[in-house]
Amino acid sequence: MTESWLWPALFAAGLGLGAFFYGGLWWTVKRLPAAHHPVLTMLVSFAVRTAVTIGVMAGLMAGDWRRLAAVLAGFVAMRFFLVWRQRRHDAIQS
Amino acid sequence: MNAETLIAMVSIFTAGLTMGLGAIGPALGEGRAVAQALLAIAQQPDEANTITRTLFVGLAMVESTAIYCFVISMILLFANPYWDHFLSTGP
Repeated sequence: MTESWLWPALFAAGLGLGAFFYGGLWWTVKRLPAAHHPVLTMLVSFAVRTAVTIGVMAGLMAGDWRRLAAVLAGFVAMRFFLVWRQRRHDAIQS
Repeated sequence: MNAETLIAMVSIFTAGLTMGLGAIGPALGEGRAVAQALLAIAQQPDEANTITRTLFVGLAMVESTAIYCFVISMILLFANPYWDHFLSTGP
């Protein structure tokens, strides 16, 4: 049932989901000052990103919480990486 | 009231509670953060880049908590380990 490539693949899928979720957030935040309806932009962006992320996670979980944990680990790793990158950029700028 | 019924009841109740709290908290925080950031950008347009970056870091943290709540609810509803354990061992 559990092949050796399953867990790295799930982790990689989590990385991809994280890139999509936080990449979308970054894109939304950048557009925010020029947006006509900032609140609506933020709400729609959050709803769409969350729906896609949770939907893919539910599909990959397949009824086993350990698989979901692997995906979530990738997701959180991507979050920490992106936040660290932004902070480093700030430190270089200042 | 056997163990399975109790686990199902508590799991569903907790999943609902998790979703409720996990929706309210981040929504309030995100609204505040965005409002303050837009105010700051309006006052200091030339600092927009730095403010936007900081806003992104803050929102990433806020939205993560929402995602964690979603995940916990999903585990409780669709992949509950205790539920599976009790079903496999039998009554």
